[in-house]
Amino acid sequence: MARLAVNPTRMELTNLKKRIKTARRGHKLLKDKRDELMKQFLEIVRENQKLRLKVEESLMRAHASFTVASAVMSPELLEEALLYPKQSVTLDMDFKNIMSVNVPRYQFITKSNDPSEIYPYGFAMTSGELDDALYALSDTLMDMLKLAEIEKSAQLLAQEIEKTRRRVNALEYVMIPQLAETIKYITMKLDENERGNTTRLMKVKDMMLKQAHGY
Amino acid sequence: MKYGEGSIQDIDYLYSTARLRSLERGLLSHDRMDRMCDAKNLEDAVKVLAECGYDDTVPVNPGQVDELLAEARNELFKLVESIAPDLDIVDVFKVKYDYHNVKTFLKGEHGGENYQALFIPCGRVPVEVLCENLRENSYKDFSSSLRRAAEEAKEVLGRTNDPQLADFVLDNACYKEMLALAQQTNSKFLVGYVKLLIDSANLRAVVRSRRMGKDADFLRLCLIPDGTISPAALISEMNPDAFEALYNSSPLAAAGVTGAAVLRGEARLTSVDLKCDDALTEYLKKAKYVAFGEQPLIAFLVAKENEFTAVRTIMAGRFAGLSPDMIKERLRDSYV
Amino acid sequence: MEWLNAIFSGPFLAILGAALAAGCAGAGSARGVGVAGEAAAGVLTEDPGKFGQTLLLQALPGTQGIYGLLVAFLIMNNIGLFGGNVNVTTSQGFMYLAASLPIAIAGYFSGIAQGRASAASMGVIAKKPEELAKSMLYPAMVETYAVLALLVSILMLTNV
Repeated sequence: MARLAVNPTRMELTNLKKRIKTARRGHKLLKDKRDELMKQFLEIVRENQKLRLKVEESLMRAHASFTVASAVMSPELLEEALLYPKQSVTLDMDFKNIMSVNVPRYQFITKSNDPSEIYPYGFAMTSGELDDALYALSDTLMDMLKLAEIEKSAQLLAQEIEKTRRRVNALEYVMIPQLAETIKYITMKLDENERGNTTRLMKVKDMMLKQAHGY
Repeated sequence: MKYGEGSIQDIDYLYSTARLRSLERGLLSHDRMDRMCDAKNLEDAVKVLAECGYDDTVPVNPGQVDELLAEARNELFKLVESIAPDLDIVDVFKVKYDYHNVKTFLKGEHGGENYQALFIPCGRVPVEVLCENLRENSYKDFSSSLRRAAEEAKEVLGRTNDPQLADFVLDNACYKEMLALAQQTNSKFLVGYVKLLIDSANLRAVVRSRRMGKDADFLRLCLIPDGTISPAALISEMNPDAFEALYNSSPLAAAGVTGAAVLRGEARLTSVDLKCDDALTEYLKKAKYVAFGEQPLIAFLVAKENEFTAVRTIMAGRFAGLSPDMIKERLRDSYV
Repeated sequence: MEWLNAIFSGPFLAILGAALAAGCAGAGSARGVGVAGEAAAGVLTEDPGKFGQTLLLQALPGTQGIYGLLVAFLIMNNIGLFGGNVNVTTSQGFMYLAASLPIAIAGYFSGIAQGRASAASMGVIAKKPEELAKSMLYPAMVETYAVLALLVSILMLTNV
């Protein structure tokens, strides 16, 4: 492990010791954050899966009804019936904060609250099967919106988890070992200096004793 | 040929009846439908269609089936018009396409959607003329009923932005004009058919709007007043049993029973459509016992239009990979 | 009053009878064959292979005209029109006229009726060509009454 290119001074040592302390602390905090994010993420994913199955199922149902409706009615009549919508929907969006991640929340507002306002056609020329198809679709709309919200949240959370994980790893495997290595190097260097100094002093002391007493 | 005040001269229909009887052999009978459903592959199903006079190229997607059928529909009207002694009878069946085209134009213009492909060129007014008339608000080539309905629908759509209300206006006018035209032809059979058509449209409308939880005011708008069963009775009878009883003595008795079952939540809506269509076919089958006259012509025209639906159902079912039984379940009774 | 005498003269009445027999029965046949022919044309448009069968059916209502012709010939022969020596009393003339009426009336109406029945049978063979024999029986039944009328007319003529 490479050490940092610093001067092995006592001042630098104090500095590095301070930095490693912060790094260890940050590492612990980030690890906690990562764990919590994981927990949230798993919850969302589980919910996502459930919702996805539900949406897929009802979409299949809507599609089946549509197939029958389009078989019974000529394509021109079918498309004409759906050419101009009666009900309209506007979408509102705000954000929710999960562990400092901003996830979107959707809300939609229909022009009319009557659930039977979704059929934009007269009954004389259309098949009842089309009613079923439209009903199934409008029923799914809410769930689909919720699904979009959850999928986006999961995506954002996954990104955040990845980022946090990379930071944790960087601290754990690069930053902290590097600092520790450097500290060790400085300490050893300082100790070495110390020992050299002592030896030199002992040598000087011997030489001085020889000169003074003539041993 | 101008007729007297009385009934139609059946002698005028000798040629057309004999020719149609020949053509009836080519109709998609129940046997043929079954064979199409049970056919091992698409090629075999198409072979049955070729027996019925359709093109024998194997379609690769449902869109091609639709094209094939649209062409067959245009040809049907050309044929029937070339052999019908009285074109007024054919007009009764063309009216609905006029109203469809008006609807398409109004909705398309209002919503700014691309709608050019949705016109059906089988109406009395050619599509380009119809569009031009509507665009210029001149209506000079429209019948008076069509004109009145188109103006009203345009006004309603502009005022309320509600395409359903505009549809009601046009649908009502469409059936009224069909009935008026049918009465002009002096054909009791045709008048009876149009009335039955109105009754079945009303029956389905009642069942469907009740299911949507709509109130009497809504029903008053969507029901067509000229059938044999008055809308007032249909609106006031909220009880499924009473509803069923209204149709007791009508050819739609079976459809009434099913409709009541749907209202009680015991049956699926599809079955009502099916029963209504079957009752109409049953009515048309009377034409089989008429040696010659306008009845076989009317029956042939409708049978052919129903055949298109059957072909579309079978082919769509095959493309969707449904089992033969599931397709058969959705098929209507056939005229032959 | 000369024209009244001419009308009530024996030869005129007998010839009137012959004319009625040939004319009315012929008119009936013509209409019948026409009606059947229209229907035959309809079948042929879609199925040219049925020419023979439709022709057979179309020919059925044609017999009344032949019967009428036969009766007319008999009358003319009886009164000696071909010999150029017509010698018929007024009462004989009325008898010839009366004897022509069965085939004239029955021929006219049965011709039309048979034509309609034939046209209806065309509808049958249009759909089911194998039922030709059965479907021919129905218009052939109408023939019975034309034959009966012919029989009566001939019996009357031979005994005038």
